[in-house]
Amino acid sequence: MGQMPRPTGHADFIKGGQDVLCGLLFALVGTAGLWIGRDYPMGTSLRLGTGVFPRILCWGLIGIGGIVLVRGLLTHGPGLGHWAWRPVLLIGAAAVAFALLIEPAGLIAAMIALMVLGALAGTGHTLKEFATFAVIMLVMGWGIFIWGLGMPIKVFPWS
Amino acid sequence: MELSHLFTNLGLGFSVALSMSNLFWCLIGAIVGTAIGVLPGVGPVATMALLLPATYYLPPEGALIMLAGIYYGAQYGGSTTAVLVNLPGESSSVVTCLDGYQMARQGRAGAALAIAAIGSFFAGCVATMLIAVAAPPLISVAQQFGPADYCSLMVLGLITAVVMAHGSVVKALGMVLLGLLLGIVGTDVNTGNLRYTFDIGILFDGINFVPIAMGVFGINEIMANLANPEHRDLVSSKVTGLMPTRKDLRDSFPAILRGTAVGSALGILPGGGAVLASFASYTLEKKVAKDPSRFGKGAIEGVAGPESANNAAAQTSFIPMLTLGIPSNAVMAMMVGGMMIHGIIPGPQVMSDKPGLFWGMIASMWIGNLMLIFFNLPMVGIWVKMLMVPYRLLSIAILFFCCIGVYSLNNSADEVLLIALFGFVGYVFHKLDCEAAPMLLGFILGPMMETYMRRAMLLSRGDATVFVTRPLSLSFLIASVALLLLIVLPKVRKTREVAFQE
Repeated sequence: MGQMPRPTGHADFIKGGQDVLCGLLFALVGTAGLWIGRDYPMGTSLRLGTGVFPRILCWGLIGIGGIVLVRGLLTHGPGLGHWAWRPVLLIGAAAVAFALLIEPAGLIAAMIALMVLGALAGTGHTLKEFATFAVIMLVMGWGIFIWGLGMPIKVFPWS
Repeated sequence: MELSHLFTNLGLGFSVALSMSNLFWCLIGAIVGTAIGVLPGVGPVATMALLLPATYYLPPEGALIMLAGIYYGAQYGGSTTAVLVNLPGESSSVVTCLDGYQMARQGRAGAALAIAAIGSFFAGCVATMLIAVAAPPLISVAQQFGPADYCSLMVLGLITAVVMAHGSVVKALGMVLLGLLLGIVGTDVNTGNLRYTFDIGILFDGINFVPIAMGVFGINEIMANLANPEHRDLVSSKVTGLMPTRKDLRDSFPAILRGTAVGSALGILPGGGAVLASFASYTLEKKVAKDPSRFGKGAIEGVAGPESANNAAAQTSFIPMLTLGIPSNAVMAMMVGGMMIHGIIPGPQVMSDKPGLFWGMIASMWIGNLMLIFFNLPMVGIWVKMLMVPYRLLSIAILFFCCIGVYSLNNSADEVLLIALFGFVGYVFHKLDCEAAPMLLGFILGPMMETYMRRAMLLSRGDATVFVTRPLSLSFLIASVALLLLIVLPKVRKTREVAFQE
C-alpha cells in the first residue's frame, strides 16, 4: 500500500534496514572505543593526554550512529539488499590463503591458492582459459618478484 | 608574485622534470594511468596504493612524478572506454558515456576521442599554469597559520569533503570520524602511550596506509565488481578518422574553455576533484546550449566540456595538497602517503625546502599531458585489446598484485591479512551506502589534527578558546558550521540530489 518494496525477513518496525545497521555499527565502534580507551589519561588542558582526542571522536561516532539509527527506525529507506557473500568471502579467503602460505610454502603455492580461490569467486571460467592464465601469471610472478626484484621469499615449499 | 620568479621556478621545474629518469617515470605513470583509466573497475586510488610500495625504491621526485601521472593519465584513459564501450573506465567519465558513445555509434568515435584528448590537454596546460601561479602566494598565506588555524582548517577540509560526498551527509561524517579514529591507532607520538593496539605487533606503529587504502579501494572494488558483472559492448574495434572536422573544433572550443574553468575551480575545493567537475561541466553545457535536446544524442560539447573539466580538476586538486599539506580527496591522500614514504611532510614548507621536487612535479604535469596527447590516440588499438581481457581474470591478477605489493612493503604476511580485513570492511560500508573516501581522508588527517590541537592548547596555555579567538581559526570554523547548516536546508539538499543523479 504505497510502501517501498523491501526484502522479506525484516521486523516491521524497521523502516530502513541499511540505516539501522549503519547506525548500530557506528555507535558500536564508538562505544567500544570509549571502553577500550577508558584508562587513557586525559592529561591537563595545557598538555592534552592520550585520551582526549579518542574520546572526542568516540562520542562523535556514538552521536552520529544515534542519528543514523533513529533515521533508519523512523523513515523509510533502502533495506539491506542483496549481499554477494560468495565473491566477498572467496576473495577475502584468497588474500588470507596467500598471507598464510607465502612464508611457509613459498610463492608458487601461495599464488596457486590465491588464483584458485579467486577463480571460484568469479563466474564463467573455463578450465582451459584458467589454466593458461594461471601459467602466465606464475611465470610473470616469478619473473617480476623473484628474478627481477629479488624478493627474499622462497619459490617452492622445499627450496 | 613577479613574473620573472615564475619563470625561474618553472625553469628549475623543467630542469628536474626533463632529466632522463624523471621523464621515464613520468611516461610510466602516464601510461599506467591511461591503462587503468581504460579498464573499468580499476581506479587510480587502488593503482596508486598498489604502486606505493614500489615508489620506495625510486627517488622522491621520480616517485611523485609517476604517482601524479597515474591520476591525470587515468582521466585520459577513462574517456576511451566511455566512448568505445559505453562504460565509464573511470568514475569521472560517467557523463562522457552519454554523448561519447552516441558519437561512436554514429561512426564518429575518432572525433570524440580526439576532442576528449585535445580538451584534456588544453585543460591540463591551463591547470598546470594555475598551480604554478597560485601556489606561491597561497603558501605565503599558509605560513602565517598557527596550529589552531591548521586544526580548524582541517575541520573545514573534512566537512567540505563530507558535503561533497555522494549520499548521506551524516554517514559521511561518521566515516570521517571512523577514519580519524583509525588514524590514531598505534603509539601516541606525544606521550608514547599505546592506543587501540590490542597487543598486536604490527599495530604499534599505527595501521599502515597502504593496506588500508588497498583494502577499502582495491579489494573492495574487486568484491563489488564480481558481485555485479557488467556487460561490455565494444562498438567497433577499428577507430577511423581521428581528425575532428573544422566544425567539431569550432563547436567544442567554447565548451573546452568552460569545462576548464569549471574544472579548475571545483578541483581546488576539498572533496571535489575530477568526478564532480565532469558532472558540473555537463550540466553547464546543457544549460548554455541553444538546443539542449541534442545532448545524449552525440553532442560533441557533451564530450569536450566534461573531459576538459575532469582533467583540469585532477590537476588543480593538487593545490591544497601542495600548499597546505591537506589532501582534498582520496587520490591526494595517496600522494600524501607517497610523500610520507620518502619522509617528506606535506605542507607549505615543501616549496622552500624541496624546490626541485615541488616545481619538478608541476613541470612534469605539463610534460605528461604532452606525452599523453601523442601516445594516447595512436595507442587506442592497444587499449581496445586490453578491454578484451575478461574481468574474471583481471580481478585475480589485481588481487595477486595487491597481496604481493603489500607483502613486499615490510615482508609482513600480517599486513596481507589486513587488506583482506579492510576489503571486507570496505564491502560492508559499500553495502551500507557509506563512501570510503571520507574515511581515508580522516585516516590521513587524524594524527596531524591531534598534533595541531595539542600544539594549539600548549601555545594558548591550556585555553581552549584559542580556536574561536584567532580570527582565521574562527572563520574556518564558522565556514564549516555554515556548510553543514546549508546542506540540511531543504533547498540546497534538493539541488545536491539533482546534481548527483544522472
